[in-house]
Formats: sequence, structure tokens, C-alpha cells
Amino acid sequence: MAANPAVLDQSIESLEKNQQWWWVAEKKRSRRLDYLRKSIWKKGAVGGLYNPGVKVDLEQGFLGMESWQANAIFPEPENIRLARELAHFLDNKTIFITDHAQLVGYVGSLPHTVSWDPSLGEMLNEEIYNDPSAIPDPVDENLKKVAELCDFWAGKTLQARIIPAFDLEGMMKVMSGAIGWGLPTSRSGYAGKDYEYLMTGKRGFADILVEVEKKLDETYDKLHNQPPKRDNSSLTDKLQTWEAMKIILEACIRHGKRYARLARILAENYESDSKRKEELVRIAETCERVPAHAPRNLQESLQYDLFIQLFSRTEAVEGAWPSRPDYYHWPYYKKDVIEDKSINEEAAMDLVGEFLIRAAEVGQYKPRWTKEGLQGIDGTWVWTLGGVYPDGTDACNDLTVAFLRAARMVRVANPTFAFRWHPKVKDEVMREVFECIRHGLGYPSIRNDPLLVQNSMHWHGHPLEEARTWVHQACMSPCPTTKHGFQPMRMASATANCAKIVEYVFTQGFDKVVNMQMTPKTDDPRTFTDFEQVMEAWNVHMRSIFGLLVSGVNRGRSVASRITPRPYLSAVSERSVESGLDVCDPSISRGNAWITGFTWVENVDSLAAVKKLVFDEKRYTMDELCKALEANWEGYEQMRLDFVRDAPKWGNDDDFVDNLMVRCLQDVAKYSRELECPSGNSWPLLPENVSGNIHYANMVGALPNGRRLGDALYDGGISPGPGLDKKGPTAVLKSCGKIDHVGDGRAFLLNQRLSPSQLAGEKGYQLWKAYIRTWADLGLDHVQFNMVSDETLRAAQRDPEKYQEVIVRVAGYSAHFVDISRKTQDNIIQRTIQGI
Amino acid sequence: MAQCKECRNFFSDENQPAFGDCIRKTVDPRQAYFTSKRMEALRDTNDCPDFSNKK
Repeated sequence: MAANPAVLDQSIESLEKNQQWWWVAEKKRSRRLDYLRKSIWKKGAVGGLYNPGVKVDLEQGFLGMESWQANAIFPEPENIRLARELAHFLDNKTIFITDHAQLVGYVGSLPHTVSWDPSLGEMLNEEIYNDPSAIPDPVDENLKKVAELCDFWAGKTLQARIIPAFDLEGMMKVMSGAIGWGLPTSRSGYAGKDYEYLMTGKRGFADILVEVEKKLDETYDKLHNQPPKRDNSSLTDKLQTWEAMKIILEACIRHGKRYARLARILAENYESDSKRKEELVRIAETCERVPAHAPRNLQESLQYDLFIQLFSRTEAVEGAWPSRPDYYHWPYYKKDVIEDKSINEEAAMDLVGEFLIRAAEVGQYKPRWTKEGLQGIDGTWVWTLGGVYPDGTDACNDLTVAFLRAARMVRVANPTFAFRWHPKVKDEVMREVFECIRHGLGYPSIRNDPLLVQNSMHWHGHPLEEARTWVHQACMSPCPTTKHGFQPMRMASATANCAKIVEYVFTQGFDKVVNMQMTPKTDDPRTFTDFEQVMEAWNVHMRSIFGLLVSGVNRGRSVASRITPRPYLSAVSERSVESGLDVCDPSISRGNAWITGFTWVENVDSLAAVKKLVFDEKRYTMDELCKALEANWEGYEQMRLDFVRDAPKWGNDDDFVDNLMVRCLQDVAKYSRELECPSGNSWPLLPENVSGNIHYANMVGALPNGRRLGDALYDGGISPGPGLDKKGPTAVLKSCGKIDHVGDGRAFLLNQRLSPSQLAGEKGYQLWKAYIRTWADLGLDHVQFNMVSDETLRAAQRDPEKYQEVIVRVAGYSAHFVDISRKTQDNIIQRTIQGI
Repeated sequence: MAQCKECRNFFSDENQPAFGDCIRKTVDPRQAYFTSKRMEALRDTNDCPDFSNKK
């Protein structure tokens, strides 16, 4: 956003008083951070399209094609072939260093590109071909290149290989887009990292190579110099897995050294400014050190972490960024800033702020459903801060504070933070958390650490010390960062459009939007004489939808090692390096699966309306209700208003509807124990939305809560419907507190809007702190806040150019308000502003 | 016929003399940056609009 001189002439105090936090940030941050922040090409899509100037990168496709052709004469196992393809890409892709930058690395070849790996799927490739806005200039010439890539990869992609492995009827239902989304593969979703192996200062990639080479030598010896045994076949597989790891680890080290070489060339031949020369030499030294060896200082540690993430995003499309930066980088911050004083706090702030910026600029071309479901961002990169050490002591530190302050300086919408709150968090840290919320970032979200540690142990049997290492696997779900606990790939396909459950009660499982019998044909609802029959049908459809989604993901995970291996992710995972098995092999993973429940609360409000108005008060018959729903409420407006106004709504501390919420969740929880992941663990529900409530608006038919086809759905999780929570914030918390946040599901998202004017100053902080105390006492696991006034948001709708930097909490993520659709904007404004 | 190794933007790789890096500065609407692209030293530069002879 171009700086308005009149605004920038104002004092910081004046801007703070007017809560113009984005201008405050611009005035406070260093010259370097200001340049780098403004240099970001936003990679989140708006209205399903990328921002002007953002183009798809063709390099990976052509370099991949070269590698495939070279391999075609002597085909190799898929993991080795892929490792060679990735190595060829890392060795030959264009790399760049931005002016003023101290950290380097990007998924694409140029700053304005979104990466594209056409070996992933034909559907994605066709979308790109049909997205002229993303084709690089000159368009005609590059469209031909895109066509060449699409033609070359057709039939060779991961999608082409994996779809035949699925039950086709189930796959058709999932791919219809009505009940879930995405193709369940290990190269698309949310990949955790084995941080305890990688980020504890014990090893770099060269050290892992030594471990891998030792395994290769031992296995080679067994296969070639000893009598054949019956496990020789699996030894050959392992040999190939380690060989693939070796190829990719060596390539990653070479890639780091390419940046070192570029930085040295620039320092020696192009740069005249002595300070910048020094910085370039430091970049060179850093990239000569990492990823080959363990970092020695904060810059190396951040660079190492960035490389680890970017290499993973070269191998797969990753929609999340599980991370705990204040925990794993803290030893280096402590050494540099506090003990050795080799850098001061301001220099550290530059590095931390740039680390956020480097993440914010990452973009991979995403399919339509993702672009619509994650408006304004590239993925849900929720970084975890705070929490405890494995022994239970407070892990918050000066770097926690530095990250929170850096976030207010650079004001990126992605990554966002989630803060692991526990009773021992110091007041000075809580104040920094609050300042981020007060500054309208919409983050950090607050997570109840003791409760979520307990939840991890309850659902997945993670041992206490491992459970305490948890990070956000995506928006919400905790996952340890340990050898057997970390989750290599959470496939987004186990994401249920839950409003379909109650819709199918009235359509007998037939989906009228996609014209498909989706779930078993239950009895005609007109014949129901008792509410229990409604609940029975509801359970049939719930079990069927969740079962369909889980089956697909289980299958995707089971065949991943063979069909969609992850040689890089395996190479940086202790369990794979040790065993010679692909990281996705379920036998070496404890399992941490969950079903994401989009559009969940519609079920509860709908069931409450049916129970009250049809069965308890008998104001309407089931026949009348079925007719009204079939007509999308058209011609039944008075009846619709009765179902909206006279039925109790979730979030008002009303036992009538709250008990139904608990009953539904407990029914699901029971089924979650029956469902098994390939590691033998359970599948709990996690109600939350990204912007799926808008994406699904035209997919979900009329519902008994008064909603019509096309209306925005609720904003998700266990958040009350927008404007339907009329009894104040404590009533919302009390309703949510009736849920057992350990036994009834994996986690429960709660959106709340607070008044920025009420929460100004010290009094505002104390009010918020008291609110958090009540939240914790009532046993909730999550809450996140929007603290931007209606006035500002409406002004931003009228004059978006002036409000480019206003950030809002959409659901499990934040976005710049101007980067989300009008429908989503309206949905956020409609949320009740709670006075506390 | 000029080759990459004759260009002032080309920096030979001592470890792999057959290759080197083509270094270019770009200023786009948001930022300035230097790129490095791996090149063969003997590559024909006929199709390269940025060729700039060292001599």
C-alpha cells in the first residue's frame, strides 16, 4: 500500500490512538524490514484468481521432464526416480537473492511466481492451462509451453498412478466435491517434520548422510556377501529407499552451496556498499554451513529451518507449516543476543521479521477448491508459540516475545501464530499476545495447553513427554514433533462438509446438487413420528460420510510408500533413516489422524429446530418441513422465519440445543473409536472451517435452521451462527464449556469478535485476561479473536485501496480483508461483537 | 559464435569447469534481486539477448 504522506506525518502515538496499526508498524519497523515487507508478491488467491502479476512457474515442469526422459531408458523405482528429479531441479533451477535480504530460498524460480509441479496431477494441470491470468508473459508462447507440459505429463502423474488404487465408487463420491475435497495422496496436504531429530542442534544433512551411508553399506553387505534370506526382498526395498535419501540429501547440500556461491559472487563483483558486502559474505557462510551441518547461530538456524521447509515444498504441495519457531530457535537466540551479545535485539528482530516474510512469500499453484476454501492465503500456516518443555515447565522465552513483536512489525497474514496457553505463562508474555490481537492481526489464537496435551494422550496415545512437544499440524490439530509421533502427511480429504449430514436426513441420502445417491437411503422423513427417528437417520448419514472420507485417506496412506513415496521427507525423519522405510509407512508411525468437520453447527441448530417446532410444539409437520426444504423455503417465508427466530440456537447457554450438540459429538466420538487409521489409531472429529463456509454455500441445500441454498454457512468449528449468539460472551463460553474438550473430539474452533474500543488501554488488557481465565476455567481448548471495528471493515469495503493492510481472522487462519470475497467479508461483519 | 564463458555475466565454477552461473540483476515492480542460472560454459549465446562480451 502506498504510504499516505498525511498519515505518515502523524506521530506514532496519534496513530496508535486511532488504532491505525498498519501505519504504526510501517513507522516502527527497520528500513530493511520495510523494504522486504513491501517486496512480497502476495500468493493468496482472490476470488479464485491470483493477484495481477503473479505467474505460474514453468521451470520445475521442464526440468522434471528432462529428468524423466533421462530415466526412461533404465527406469528406476519411483522413490529413486523422484529423488533424481528433485535433485535435477535443485541443481538447475534459477535462484535469487533479494536486495537487503539476509535469508534466502524460494519454491519457485522468481519472486512473483507460484511453483507448479506438473507431475502431480492432470486435473491441476488442466486448471493452469485454463487460467490465463497465471500464464507468464508472453502469454501465447507460454501457453504453448504449458500445453507441452500438460501433454507430456498426461498419464504419468501421481494422480494417474494413484486413482486406480482406490475404490472407484467411493472416490467418485469424494471427488464430486459435495462431502469432502482433495485427492488423498502423500504429496498434497499437511506434512509435519521430525523437529526433535532435525532441529535440536545435533545434526545437519551431512550427518544424516553418514547414517544413511552406513545403512547402505550394511545392507549391501547382507545382500551381496551373505547367504540369501527370506527378507532379502524387503532389504532390496530398503536399499532403494536409503539410496533415494542419499540422492536427495546430497542435492539439498549442493543447493545450499549454490546460494553461498551466488552471495560470494555478488559480494566480490557487484556490491560496493561495505555493509551489504558483509551481509552477503555472511549469507555465503551461512549457506556453506546449512543445511549440511547443524547451525551455530540464529541466522543459520532460521536459514536451516527455511531450507527444510522449502525442500519439502519442492517434493509436495503443502497446505500447512507445522512449526514451533520460538522453541527450536531459542538456544541460538539466547546464545547470540543474551550470552555472546554477537547481535543486538534490533538485529535479531530483523532476522525474525524476515523469517516471517520469507514464509509469507511462498506460493504453490493450488486447485480451485483450495483457492476458494483458503481465500487470501496460500495455506494454513499456523506456527505454534509458547507451551511447555517435555518436563512440563514453561517454554516461553525472549524469542516468543520477539516473534510476537515481529508479527506486529511485518503484519503478514500468513504465517499466523497459535499460542499454547498454560497457567504458568508470565504476564509479560500474555501482554505481548494481547497486543497482537489488539493490533487487529486476528492471531495468535489461544490454545489450552494442559487440556490439549491430555487430548493427545486420550485419542492417540502419545506419551506425556511427546505430547508436550506438540505443534499445529494444520489450523488446529495438535501433533508431536517426535520420531514416532510426528505426522508425515495429513491428507486434506478427510475434511467433511458436515451440513450434508442433516441435509441427507431430509433427502434420504440423495445429493440434489451433484445428483448422486451419496449415503444409504434412509426412511422417508415424512413418516417420522418421533425425534429419535431423526437422530437415527442422522447417525446413518454421519457414519456413511465420515466412513467414505476415512476409507479414501486410509487407502491413500496405505499405498503411499509404494505409489507416492516421499524420499526427501523420509531422509529428514529419524524413523525412516533408521528403518529404511518410507516416512509414510504406517508401521513406523503412531498415527495422529482426525476428521476436519466443516459446517458442523448447522446440524445442531437444525436438529434443535426440528425437535422444538415439529415434535415438541407440533407447530409444523415433517411433511410441511420437507416441502419447504424442497422448495428452498421459497413460498414458506413465515415458516422459515419461525425456524430462524423461534428455535433455540447454539451459543446462548440454552440446554435445549446445547444438549443436542453434546449428544451429536458423543455419537461421533463413539464412531471415531470404531474408525481406524492404517497405524491402528482412532479418527476423532475436529470441527472447524477455513473459508469452507463460503466455498460450500452453493453446495448445501436448504436446512431446517432456516438457511437457504446459496446462503453463507456458519463460520465454523463450534462458533455460533453469525449474529445468533445474543446472550453475551459468557453464554457462548458456557455453551462451549458443556462439551468435553478431551473426550468429545480432537479440538473445537471458536471465533469471537471483540470491541477494539472496549479493549483499549490497560483496562482492556485486564478485561481480556479475565475473559481468558473464564475460558480456561470452563475447559475450552481454543479461541481466536477479531478485534477490528465494523466501521473500519465497512470503510475497507468501500475503499479497499486505502485499507490494503487490514487483517481479519477468517477461521483457522488470518487474511488481509481486501483479499477475501465480499461474501466472506459480510460473514465476518455479521459476527456478533461481544462486549466483555 | 559466442559462448556463455565469454560473457561478463558468466561466472565459471572452479569445481565443475564445464559449468558456471549466469548472474543477472532484475528490478520488478516490488523488489530488486539478483538471479543465478546454471549454464554450460560452451553454450551458444545466439538466443541470449543479455549477452555481454567480457572483452
